Amino acid sequence: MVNTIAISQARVTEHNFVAPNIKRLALQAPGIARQAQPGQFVNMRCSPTLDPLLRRPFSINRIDPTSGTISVLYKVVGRGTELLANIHRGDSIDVLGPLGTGFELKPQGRKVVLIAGGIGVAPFHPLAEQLVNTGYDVTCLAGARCDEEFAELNDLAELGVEMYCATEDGSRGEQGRVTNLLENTLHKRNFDMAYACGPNAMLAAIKQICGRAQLPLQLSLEEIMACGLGVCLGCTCEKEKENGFLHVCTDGPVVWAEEVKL
Amino acid sequence: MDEHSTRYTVHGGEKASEPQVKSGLRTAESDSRLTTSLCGIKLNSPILSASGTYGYGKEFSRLYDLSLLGAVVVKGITLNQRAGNPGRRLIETPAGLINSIGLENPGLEGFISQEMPFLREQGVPVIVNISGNTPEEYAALAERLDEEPGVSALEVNISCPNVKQGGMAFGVTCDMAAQVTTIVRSRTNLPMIVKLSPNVTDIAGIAQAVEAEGADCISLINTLLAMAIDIHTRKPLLKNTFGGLSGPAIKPVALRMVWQVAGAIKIPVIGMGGISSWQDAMEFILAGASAIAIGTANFVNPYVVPEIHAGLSKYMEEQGVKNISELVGAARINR
Repeated sequence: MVNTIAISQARVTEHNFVAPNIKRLALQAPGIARQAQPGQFVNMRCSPTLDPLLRRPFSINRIDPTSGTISVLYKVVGRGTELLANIHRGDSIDVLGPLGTGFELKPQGRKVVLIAGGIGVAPFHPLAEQLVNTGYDVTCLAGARCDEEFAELNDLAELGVEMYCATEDGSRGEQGRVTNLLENTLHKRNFDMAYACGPNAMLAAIKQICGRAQLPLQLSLEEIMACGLGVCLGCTCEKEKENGFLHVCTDGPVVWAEEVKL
Repeated sequence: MDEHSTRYTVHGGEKASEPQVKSGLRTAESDSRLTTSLCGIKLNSPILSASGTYGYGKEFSRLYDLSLLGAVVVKGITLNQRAGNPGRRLIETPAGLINSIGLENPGLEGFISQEMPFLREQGVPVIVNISGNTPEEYAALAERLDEEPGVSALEVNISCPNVKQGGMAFGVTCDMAAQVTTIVRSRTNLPMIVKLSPNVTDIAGIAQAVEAEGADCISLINTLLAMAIDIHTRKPLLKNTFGGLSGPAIKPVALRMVWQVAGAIKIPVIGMGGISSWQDAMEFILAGASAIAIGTANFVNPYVVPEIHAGLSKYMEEQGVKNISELVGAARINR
């Protein structure tokens, strides 16, 4: 965290469903938009009341310094996101950010692969945008339970990302998990760098696959979080190489796969 | 409206001044109506950070001037470094938070070398919270910190529910609490604050035992022992089964205990437990707390300290009170 943290009552500029249970929330937050890096997050209050008490962390899904807006992409899964889903355009929301450590933006080589599980696709748009703009070939493997749980596929394709997808029910792309898709893809093609975001079980499997392929891998982690600033020490995951814990809010959310035990 | 345009009033009901914004940092003028003292330490305000919710001050110093605080009470220090508890550490509850951090900290020497240089520069008293597995460990911590420049006081934590040995075990009987107090007293001349556990039947009795052994101040409450169960796995959510409940949910219990303790001892009390607004802070002061500490609310609203500072200033102004110390325990008299 080297940037300045800004907190705001940010005005909601757009708030739409992009899939049956997934919404994109756009906020006027120039201080955050000016500084945010791909992979960083914001910590937002879903309601001004004290129940639910804690802020909710969201990957930053769009960064537009020119218009001073940022977006988050989220799935409605619990009380916090249900309250969030009812916020209207023009309302204000309390948002803190940009927080945490983002993605490596200058990986060695030219060919990178992004691996997304469900709503784990959220942090990839700003990353892909930057990588494409700096001359990388970007491929994205996206997995979901079914077609209705995808978001962003077209948006990423429009950036020039080569898209492949897998669904567990076969309703779109290959049938199976994104980890199968990754294994099959790695049999046919080589990459210089991989980035993954999704449920921990998926990240653990991807870490193994990329480990075998000796493909450098960064993971965007998710943990239950309180402060988002590094003071509560609540959002930990075990270190791989030594005893002790990483703090997802400051050491992450993006970490190198070999740093973390999943 | 952008994120720098949030207004809050500074310095009471006087002219509402625009907070100074520089790289996101907000500062507020000090207010003589809020200055007070505690165990001989001069405080800019009666607002302290609660140990474990404020790290060592660095993170919040990027958001506002730490001298708004009366003192920074740092995350608990143990003799040796601790990695903290494995597994899930946080559970959100209605208006509350159960934690099982387990005193993750860099250890005494790590704290002194990594954190004290920054803390000494902040122009705010530093209170170091200490925890031990044995009374001798508390004593060793006290002795070393006694000679450390920039440490204004010790807060002896005999109330952490999240460590297997020591911690809360020292705070739940009068004998054990007295034993730790005695040995720490014998090894330091620093003002000694003893932080009590609410997980006892007679908190006033523990406070009296600690006062009798030479404590200069009592702080309370630490977290309430709590748990949650995962109905799908049919197991407790925390590896240690129990954690500590904090947040607005515990405020009425904390206030009641501050009231009981303030009525039973002569040394000052630092009140804490769920304080989230200046109104909450005022309740604790009226109940008899000479100072108050902000804990979990720092996670919910990182600007809660400047906001409480502004709110208390305004209240002093509106009530025509010259200094907040005049209101300590006022609710006890006015009954």
